[in-house]
Amino acid sequence: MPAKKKQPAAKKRPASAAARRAPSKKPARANKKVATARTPAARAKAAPPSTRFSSSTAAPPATTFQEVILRLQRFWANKGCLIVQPTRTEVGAGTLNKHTFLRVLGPEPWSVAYVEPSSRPADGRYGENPNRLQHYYQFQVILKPSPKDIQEQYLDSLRELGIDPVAFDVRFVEDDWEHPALGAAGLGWEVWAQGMEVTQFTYFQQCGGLDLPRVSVELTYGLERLAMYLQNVENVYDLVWAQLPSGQKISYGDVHKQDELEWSHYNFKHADTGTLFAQFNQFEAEAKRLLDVAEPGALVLPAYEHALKCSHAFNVLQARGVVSQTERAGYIGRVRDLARGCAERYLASRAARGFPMLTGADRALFVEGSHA
Amino acid sequence: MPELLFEIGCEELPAGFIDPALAFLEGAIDQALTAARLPHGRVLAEGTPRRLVVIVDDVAARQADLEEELQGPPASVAWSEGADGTRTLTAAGEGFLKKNSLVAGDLYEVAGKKGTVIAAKRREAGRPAADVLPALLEGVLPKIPCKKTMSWGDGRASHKQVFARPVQWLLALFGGRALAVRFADVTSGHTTRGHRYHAPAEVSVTSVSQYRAALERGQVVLDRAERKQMIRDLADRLAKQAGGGLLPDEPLLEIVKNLVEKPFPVLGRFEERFLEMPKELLVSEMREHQKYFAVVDGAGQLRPAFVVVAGSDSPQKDALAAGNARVLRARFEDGAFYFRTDRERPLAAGAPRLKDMVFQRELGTLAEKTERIQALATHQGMRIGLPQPVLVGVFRTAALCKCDLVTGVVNEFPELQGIMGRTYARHDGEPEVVAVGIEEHYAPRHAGASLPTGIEGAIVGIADRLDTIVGILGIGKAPTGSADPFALRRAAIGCAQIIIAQRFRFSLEDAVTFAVSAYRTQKKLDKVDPVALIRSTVEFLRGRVRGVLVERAAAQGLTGAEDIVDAAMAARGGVDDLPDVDARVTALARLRADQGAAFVSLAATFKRVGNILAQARQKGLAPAAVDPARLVDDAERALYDALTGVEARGAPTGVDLAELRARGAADLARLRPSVDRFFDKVLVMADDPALRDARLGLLARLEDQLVEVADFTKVQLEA
Repeated sequence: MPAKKKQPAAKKRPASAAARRAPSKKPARANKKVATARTPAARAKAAPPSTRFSSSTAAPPATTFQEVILRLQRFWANKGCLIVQPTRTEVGAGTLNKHTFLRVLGPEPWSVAYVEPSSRPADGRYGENPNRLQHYYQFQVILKPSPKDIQEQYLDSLRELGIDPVAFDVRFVEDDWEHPALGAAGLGWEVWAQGMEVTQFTYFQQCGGLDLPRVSVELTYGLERLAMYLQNVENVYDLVWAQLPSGQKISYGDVHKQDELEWSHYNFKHADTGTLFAQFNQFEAEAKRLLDVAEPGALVLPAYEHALKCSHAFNVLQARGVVSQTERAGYIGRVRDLARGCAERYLASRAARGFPMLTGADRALFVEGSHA
Repeated sequence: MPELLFEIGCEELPAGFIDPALAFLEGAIDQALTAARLPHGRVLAEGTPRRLVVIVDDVAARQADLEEELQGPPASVAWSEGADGTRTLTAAGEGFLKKNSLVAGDLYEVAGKKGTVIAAKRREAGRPAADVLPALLEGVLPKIPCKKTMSWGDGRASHKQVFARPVQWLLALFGGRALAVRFADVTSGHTTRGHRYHAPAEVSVTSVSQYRAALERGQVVLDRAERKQMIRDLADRLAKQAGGGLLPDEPLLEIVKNLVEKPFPVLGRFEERFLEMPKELLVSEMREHQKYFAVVDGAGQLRPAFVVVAGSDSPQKDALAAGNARVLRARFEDGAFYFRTDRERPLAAGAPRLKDMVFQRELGTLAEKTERIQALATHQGMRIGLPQPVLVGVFRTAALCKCDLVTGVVNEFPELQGIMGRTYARHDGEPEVVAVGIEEHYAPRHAGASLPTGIEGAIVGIADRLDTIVGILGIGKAPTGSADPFALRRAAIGCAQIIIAQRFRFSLEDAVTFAVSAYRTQKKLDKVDPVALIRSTVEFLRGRVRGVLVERAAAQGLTGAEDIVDAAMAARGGVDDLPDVDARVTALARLRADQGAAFVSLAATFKRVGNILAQARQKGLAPAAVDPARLVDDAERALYDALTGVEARGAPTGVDLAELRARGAADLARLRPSVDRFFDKVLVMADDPALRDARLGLLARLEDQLVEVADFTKVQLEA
């Protein structure tokens, strides 16, 4: 099931004149120091008029879809994130990727960034709706433990894309996030730019029903929306995915329109519900069996992947409209039980290995009495 | 005297957290200072999404000295006397010394509550306030009320501290000097920061006035009322440009003022074509997701414009307006899509899908609830004698009242339940009374909101609420303390308000009985003793009715009618017939307002009647029927005549309930002189048993008239 709220309709904005005029391509990292070292008056003098009040300036806008991804990857790599790749199983959101769901558990530090192709079968619109997709991309960042200056880091990442927080009234608006099927909950914000939600910003408090001893921060950027914003287009399929050296432009529609049409037909009309119900049961049974394997101990990662397959089968069944409101809670409960089982066994498996990624001082803080 | 300034700088706090947190801080800091013997001036707490601030004027520089007497165990326990008469301290006595760091020479004896105890004076010189304040503030902070708390970084492991959002900085100044206050992973200093974007640099301050100036320069408006006023003024000015004014929306204003450190309202516009959608839907789209203010013309009609309150001073206002308008347009398009598809099928077609929606696990689906509402509403309609055509409308309203819960729009905006039902019912050509009834069965939607105007909504609304109350009480989930997850109290209050306002004369107990039987017909609540459930439901309703009656009296200028309400509720009819109870409350309260002191003596006189009869009954003297031939005194004959006069008049016909009860009260008032004279001249407990019984009988006849109106023993006699 979807990890987050339904993907709200994507919107765009006119390209920023101020951003285009902005002088620096690399404003981000030094910002804070510059800001604290100078008086507002000094900055007002130094900065171009349109950004007189802002604490820093934005880069020129990222003009292609892939440029958005590349800049975010580069930005977060420079902040110390591993750049990893999407999971091979269908997921409703980057949160379900094991790089998030399992790694936020326990005390081991973990910072990672990746693009996640996210499947929301019920959101398909046959390629006709300019804002809704059954398959879209999230850019997911996990930082554990959450850094003290994470809000500033995040704002710098927007500046890196060409979004000036002042010009676009970037705001942090309360949004407490809960995902019952994952036993996950967090507090944070939806980040607005010109009234549009561009990112979910969450401090994870609980996952798989377990309290988290170290808090991860999760940043989930809606890539299509950000790109539509930056390219000033009304229709997701009109996004420029890339401009080739030859000058040819490849659009989002070139890459994905056929997918949207075919998968919408599949999800809404052709998916075989008997098969899907059977698959749900089989995947569930397999996941349970794997969690109970005694030698060499629970096979948590394969079990978790089967739990994800269960979740996706359920999402397609939902799209087919064959799960009644009353049955729905039952299915969600079954997925939740699997997710919790995986979380518990994963944590135990890391503990059994002595939390290998935990370093000296942290080890003393989190694993008292252990042999560091 | 020095001033105290304390600021908690945070990552953006939830809007709803800020006001209660500040209210708490104001009270808690005030109390803590007093408890710490630090006399002080005004405590002010203000804040924005990024800071909670406490400013205290004129705090004493030192604590007052303390001298208090500590009392210990009884002297007999604290001392033991040796054979030679020397006294030594026992273990208990030593313990008292040790606990309070005393020496034996400090001790003396004093008379305690339970005899002589040992005691000592504890003197503590006042410490400088600057030494006391850090711990004092640290003690208050963890108690700030927080619905949901969070940890951040390694907080849970390293400093065991949680808060609404991560703390970024602390500023603590006392008399211009920085204090070291620790909270979460931060230690306070002497710097603050301005607006996140406009003035992010740290600024050092040494006084409250400097601090205020720094905030002003830093594009922060600390005062919440001031932000609110700025939003109202600036937004209204913008709305005028769009040919209207702001749609008044106080709750939205309360939220938005806490979303920004300084408001920068911007006017946006949307296409006229969206105005075809229901106003409520458009307003919900604007306010719920986007926190935009709607703009209306003089007639209350929406203008195609909105006001967004930005949090920073964008140099590109037009682009900002256009960007927000684009977001809104996408939302409107979504709403329009649902509104269009919802109307492709009639509202009634939603009924079968209610079978899929659970009302409450043990109480079944909304389809089953609908069946019960239909039965109960029809039953009540017949009880009050509604004509057949109206009953048909009630039945139809009940059948459709929950159908909009399965529509796309209500799924998206639950607060539009009923409103969309009305809209769709009209679209389907349902009778207007049914359409209005569907909307109004939710009225009153909150405390102080308007009541149903039509019979259909009123009857169905009562049935819906009674069904919920009976059901939830039946599964043992009565509200406790402040926990009322099913809002049963509000439901009961709503029921009482509607019944009284509509002057529905039916027996509450009969209605509850029917509601219970409606569950039992569906094989629900069949393990519960129905008689006990009926009793506890009536009792629960009764508990809420009192407040409703007091409030209604107060609304007519008859304040302080609590005792009269109690008296009226204890009358013969109890609280079964609510409009009648209400009419009696009004009649008596008005009589009291008109008669002043005379009413007090009237109540005293009637109270005396009740007391004499109660005493007689205690002695086993049941008053016999009065035999007028036995009455000998002029005074008692006069009372007998006056009373029979009132009795003979009976209930006038053709007057409304209020008039009826007003006349009844006036009749009683007219009886009073006769009763007073009776008590002056006649000894009720006469030696002659026959005479005594006749007199008791006379009083019993009088009481019979009185308890029809009220139990006068409950009326307060002090003015």
